[in-house]
Amino acid sequence: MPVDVRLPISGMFFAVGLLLLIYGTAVEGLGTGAGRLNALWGGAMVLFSLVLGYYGARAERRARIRERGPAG
Amino acid sequence: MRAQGLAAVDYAIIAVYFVFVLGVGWLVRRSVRTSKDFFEAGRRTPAWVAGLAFVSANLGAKEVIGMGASGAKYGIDTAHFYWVGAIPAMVFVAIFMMPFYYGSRARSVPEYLRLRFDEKTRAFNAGSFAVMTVFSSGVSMYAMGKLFNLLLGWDMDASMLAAAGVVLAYTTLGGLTSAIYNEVLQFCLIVAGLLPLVILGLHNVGGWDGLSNHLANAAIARGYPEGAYTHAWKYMGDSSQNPIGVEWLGLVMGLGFVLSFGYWCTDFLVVQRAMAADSTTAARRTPLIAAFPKMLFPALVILPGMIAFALTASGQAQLIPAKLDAALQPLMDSHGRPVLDFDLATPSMLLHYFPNGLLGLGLTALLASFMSGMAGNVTAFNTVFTYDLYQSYLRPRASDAHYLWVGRAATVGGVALSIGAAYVARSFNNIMDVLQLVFAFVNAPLFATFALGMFWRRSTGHGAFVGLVSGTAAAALHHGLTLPAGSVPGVKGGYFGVLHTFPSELAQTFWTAITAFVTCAAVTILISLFTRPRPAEELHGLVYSLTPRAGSKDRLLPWYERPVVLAAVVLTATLFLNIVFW
Repeated sequence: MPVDVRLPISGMFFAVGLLLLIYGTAVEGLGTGAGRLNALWGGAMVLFSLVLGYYGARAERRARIRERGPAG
Repeated sequence: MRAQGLAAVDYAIIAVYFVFVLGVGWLVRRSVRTSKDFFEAGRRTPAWVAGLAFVSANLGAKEVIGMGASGAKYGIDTAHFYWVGAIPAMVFVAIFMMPFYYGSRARSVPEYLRLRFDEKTRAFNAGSFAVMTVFSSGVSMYAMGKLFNLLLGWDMDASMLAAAGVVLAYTTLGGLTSAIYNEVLQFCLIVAGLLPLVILGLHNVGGWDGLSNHLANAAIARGYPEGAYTHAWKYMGDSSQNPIGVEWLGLVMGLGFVLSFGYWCTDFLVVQRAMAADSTTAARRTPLIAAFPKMLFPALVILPGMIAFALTASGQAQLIPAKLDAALQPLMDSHGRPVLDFDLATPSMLLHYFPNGLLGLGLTALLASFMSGMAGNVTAFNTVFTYDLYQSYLRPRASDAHYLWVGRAATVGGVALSIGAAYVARSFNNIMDVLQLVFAFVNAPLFATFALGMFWRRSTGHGAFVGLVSGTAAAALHHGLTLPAGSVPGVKGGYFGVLHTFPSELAQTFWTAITAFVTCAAVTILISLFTRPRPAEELHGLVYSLTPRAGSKDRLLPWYERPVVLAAVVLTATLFLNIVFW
C-alpha cells in the first residue's frame, strides 16, 4: 500500500470540518441554530480527523521501520 | 422543497472532496506496475480496509436513495434487506465460499466458474455480468443527474459527466487499489453526511416513540395494524397486514435465501474487494468486518425515509412530493391519495434539515455514494472484460504490460459505455424496473450454480450451463404469468397472461427468484446425473469435500481475528436486532 488509508481520510475530514467550523462560527455566528450546528459538527469532524491522523501516521511510521528491516 | 440555495461553503466542500479523491488516485498510481496491481490491488489489502470497501462498493445510489425510499414506503420491514438478507449471506460467503474464491487463485468470479465447470459457463456469466455492470452504472449515473437537476437545478449532463470524469480519472490511474482507498474514504464521508440527518430528524419527530406514534396513524389510515411500519416481524404472518405485502416464507426464502445469497455470494462487484485481501484469512474476515457497519445501516439509510414519510403523512411537512403525470398533475392511487415519489425522501430530508455548510456535506455524501457505486462497477467490469473476455477469447498470450494497458482502456470504455447507458435510460420510463428484473433473472439461478458447484462434486459443466439458462427462462416465464396488484401487463409482468396476482412487486420478485433458483438447481442436478463429472483430482481447492479446512490455521489466530468467532458475533448481534424490532 502506498500510504496508510487513514491519512487521506484524516486530511479530508480535517479540511471539511475546518470549513464547517469556520463557517459556523465566523460567518453564521454561534447565536444562530445553523451556526451552532455547523460549528458542532465541524468540530466533531476535526477531532475525528486528528485521532484518525494520529493512528494513521503511527501505522505509517511502523510500516517504514518494518520495510527498512532490523538493521535500519 | 427548495430548488436552489447552495452557498460558497457548500461548493467548497464538494471541491475538497473532488480534490481528495483525485489526489488518492494520483498517490496510488505509483504502486501500479503490473496487471495484478491494477486488477487485484496486488492482493495486499488489509482485511479492515477490504471490509470497508466491500460494504462501500455496495453503498451506491440504490442503497442510499433506494433504501430511504423503501423505508418511506415499507417502514422498518425494509431492514429485512439487511437482517435477513445481507448479513446471513455475508457470513456464508466469508465462512464457506471465500476459501474457494481466494484459494483457487481465480482472479474473478467467472474465472472460478471456468476452473470448476467449463468455458461456456464462464462465458455466459462473464457476458451477462459485463452487460449488467455497464447498465447498472449507467442507470445510477442517470439517476444522479436527474436528482441533482431536480433538487438543485444543476445541468444534468454536466453533473453526470463531472462525476464520471472524476471516477474515470482515479480508477484509470490507480485501478482497484485506488477504487478501494476511495471507497473507504467515501464510506466515512457518507456516514459523516447522513448521521446528523438522522439525529436532527429523530429529534424533530420526538425520538423513536414519536416516530412510532406518527407512523401508527399512517398505518391505520392505510388499513394496516398500527405497528405495521415499526415492527419487522409481528405482522409477517399475513401478506395483507404488512406494507411490504409478503408473508414470512416468501421473505425468508426469496429475499433471505435466494436473492441475497445470489447477490452477496456471486456478484463479482463485492467479491472482488475480498479477493484483494492479503491472505485467505483476511479474505474470509473481509465480509465479516463489513457485516458490522452493514447491520447498523438501517439507522442511517432507512430511518430518514421513515421520518420523511411520518412527517408527510401527518401533514407536518410535505417532504415527499407527489409523482406527476404527463400534464404535470399529481398522480392519484385507487383510494384517491396522491402517489408519492419516495425516491425523493432522503434528498428532501437533506434540504429540509441541513443549513448551508452541512448541506454541502450531505450532498457530497450523496455524490460519494453514487461515485463509489460507479467505481465498483467500473473496476469489476475492467477485470472481467480483460481476464474473462479479452485474454480468454481475443489475445490469450500477450505480455503483462499489454493486459495492464487493456485494463486501463477497458476502464475508459466502461465509463464511456456507462455514459451511453445513462442516455439510453433517459429515453425509457421503465428502464430501472427492467434492470431490477434482469438482476433477479440472472443472479438468483447463479447462486444455485455456485452452491452446487462448491458443495456437490458430481455437478458437471453441462449441468451448470443448462441449469443457468433454464433458471433464467423459468424466471421469465414466472414473471410473464404473474402481476403485482394494481399493475397492467407489460414491464411489471403478465405479458404471457395473468395466472396469479401478488399483493406487491416485491412479493412477485421474491417468488420469481425462488422459481429461478429451484429450476436451476433441479435442472443442474438432473443433467449432471446424466453427464460425466470431472475427475476428483481436478477439483481440489474448488469443491468443499475435496479442500482442506481452513479452520486448523484459524486456531493460531487471536480469538477476535478468527472468522468463525466473528461470524458468531455477527449472527448473534443480528438476531438481537431482529428481536428488538420484532
